[in-house]
Amino acid sequence: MLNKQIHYSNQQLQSWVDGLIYKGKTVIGPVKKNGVTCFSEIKNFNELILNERTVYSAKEVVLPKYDILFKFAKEKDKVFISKNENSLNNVIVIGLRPCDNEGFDYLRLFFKSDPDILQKLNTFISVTIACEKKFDGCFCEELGIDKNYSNKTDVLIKTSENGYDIYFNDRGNEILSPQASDVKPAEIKKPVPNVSIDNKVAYLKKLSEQYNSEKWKIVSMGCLGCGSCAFVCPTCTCFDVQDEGNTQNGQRLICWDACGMGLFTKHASGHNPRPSQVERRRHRIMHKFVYTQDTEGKISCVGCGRCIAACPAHLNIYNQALQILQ
Amino acid sequence: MNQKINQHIAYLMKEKGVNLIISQAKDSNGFVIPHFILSENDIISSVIAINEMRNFFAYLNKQEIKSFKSIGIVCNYFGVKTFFQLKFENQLKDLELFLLIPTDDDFIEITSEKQAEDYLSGLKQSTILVDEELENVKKMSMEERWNYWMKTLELCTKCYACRAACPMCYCSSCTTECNIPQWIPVPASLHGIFEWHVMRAMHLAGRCTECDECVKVCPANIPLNILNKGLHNKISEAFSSDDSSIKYALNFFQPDEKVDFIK
Ligand code: SF4
Ligand code: SF4
Ligand code: SF4
Ligand code: SF4
Repeated sequence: MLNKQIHYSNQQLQSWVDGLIYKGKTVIGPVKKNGVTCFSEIKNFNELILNERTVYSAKEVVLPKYDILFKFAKEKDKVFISKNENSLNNVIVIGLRPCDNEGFDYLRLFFKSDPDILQKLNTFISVTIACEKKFDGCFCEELGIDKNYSNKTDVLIKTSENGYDIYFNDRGNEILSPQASDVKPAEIKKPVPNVSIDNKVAYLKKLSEQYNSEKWKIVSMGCLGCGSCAFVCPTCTCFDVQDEGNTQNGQRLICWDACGMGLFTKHASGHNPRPSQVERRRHRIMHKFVYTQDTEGKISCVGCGRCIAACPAHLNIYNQALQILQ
Repeated sequence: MNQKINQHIAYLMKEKGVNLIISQAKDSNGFVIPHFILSENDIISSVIAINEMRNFFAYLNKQEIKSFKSIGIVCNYFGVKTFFQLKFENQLKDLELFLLIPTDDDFIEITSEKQAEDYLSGLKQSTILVDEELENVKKMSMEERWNYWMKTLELCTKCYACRAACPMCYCSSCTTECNIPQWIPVPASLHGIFEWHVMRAMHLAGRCTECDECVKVCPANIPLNILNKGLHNKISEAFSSDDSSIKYALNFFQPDEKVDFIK
């Protein structure tokens, strides 16, 4: 619970972050790399880009585009297997948005029986920045997410007069280590429980009655079948398992995969149960708004709008869901 | 689109049996997107400058779109170039196409290879921007060049949006999907990314129409046009002094050629 608060000036925020790096913490935040805003380790506060939505979501901190599960090596007649231990101890992720936190919250549900990923998700310390305004294509509020607040973070930064109001929990306290005299009990607007969102979620579930609707053909026309929407999405979790190496040594990897691609469901026999973009686009929309209501108890789109910006045809997943329901 | 084009679209649909028009529009965020016209009710007036227009010929690779058979497509210079190249590669066999190119307050219609050739020979599109960037890369030492590509390619996630949006990437099964043998490593590691892009550039050499769709759709901002243009120049040097006579360098093979890699 974010139960305490302090106030920082611009200068104090900067010295705090630079101080963390100086003390040897790994600080990850939104930076520009070749013109693309994405999460990456920083060495200096000034690298941070704090007024944009990242192109790729923060999920790559925990689930990078490819990761080594374990390495294997053969020596004479013995095989050695070494598990890849990359915990996120000592890592602070700064510049998350409320949607990123909702994304991580969903990942915790989805990976509940994968101790390694769960451990990563629960280890890093999160520092969130409230969104004052929407970015192009964001629709988090339509899904009941408060863009100005998040209780799924260790530190929440809100712009205030001449600086920032900083709210934090005990884990946040550890990295802020404030002077006791500066700390006040948090006075924060808790989001009012939103009744209409329950109706919205129930309404979206009605998509399952439209499984055979002719409209899927219309909404999928623009879909070219790439991985962009899945790769930028904070809640897409699908991956492909690949082995690399030779008879003596090698490694097993997990690599991002995407349901928009034809190969995703292609069987070894050549049969493909989702033979065209009609079925693939339907699957993606249904998965976000219907299927995870059954499996994880909630919809799995957090309305970040990243897929809309990244899609070659800029297909709008939420508007398309509503279009099917109309 | 402008009024004249829209009137013509209505005419094509009513009188010519055209049942799909792939037009262009701007969404509320200002992105240029495909606008599919399935009946006259879908016709909208939208203003998109000719140089802002995109190349939506990749949609013709989709079976669901192909099945419309008689299709109108709103495009600019690059669409015509793509049409010409695809015809040359025998790709548009079962389709009846109507290319609609907006002009100030009118439009040009192209339906045949001959018309496309005439249209193209009357125009020369400038690609100065890419040429400049390409020159910068060429001035680099080999080591700088290597670092430049490693730095820009590092962000590629292998989402294959560049492949999906490219009208010339029409293979039903891509080399990246072949796993016996595995030519291209699957993970988006530097190795996997590098081999994917070298393979992609090679397969498009002499065929790429320089429409830059791949660059426009890449979420990672990778300057694929530098690779495309660089390869284009190499092909021109190796195969012809006259730009317009290169149609398909990969097909440029003579039985009496003395090459040591074909044994
Ligand atoms: S589906 Fe799109 S809008 Fe929803 S969480 Fe994923 S990227 Fe964001
Ligand atoms: S919806 Fe867009 S981003 Fe997703 S697979 Fe289709 S074309 Fe690619
Ligand atoms: S170059 Fe860009 S569009 Fe192509 S696979 Fe890489 S990230 Fe995707
Ligand atoms: S510019 Fe890119 S999308 Fe266009 S034809 Fe060349 S490779 Fe394909």
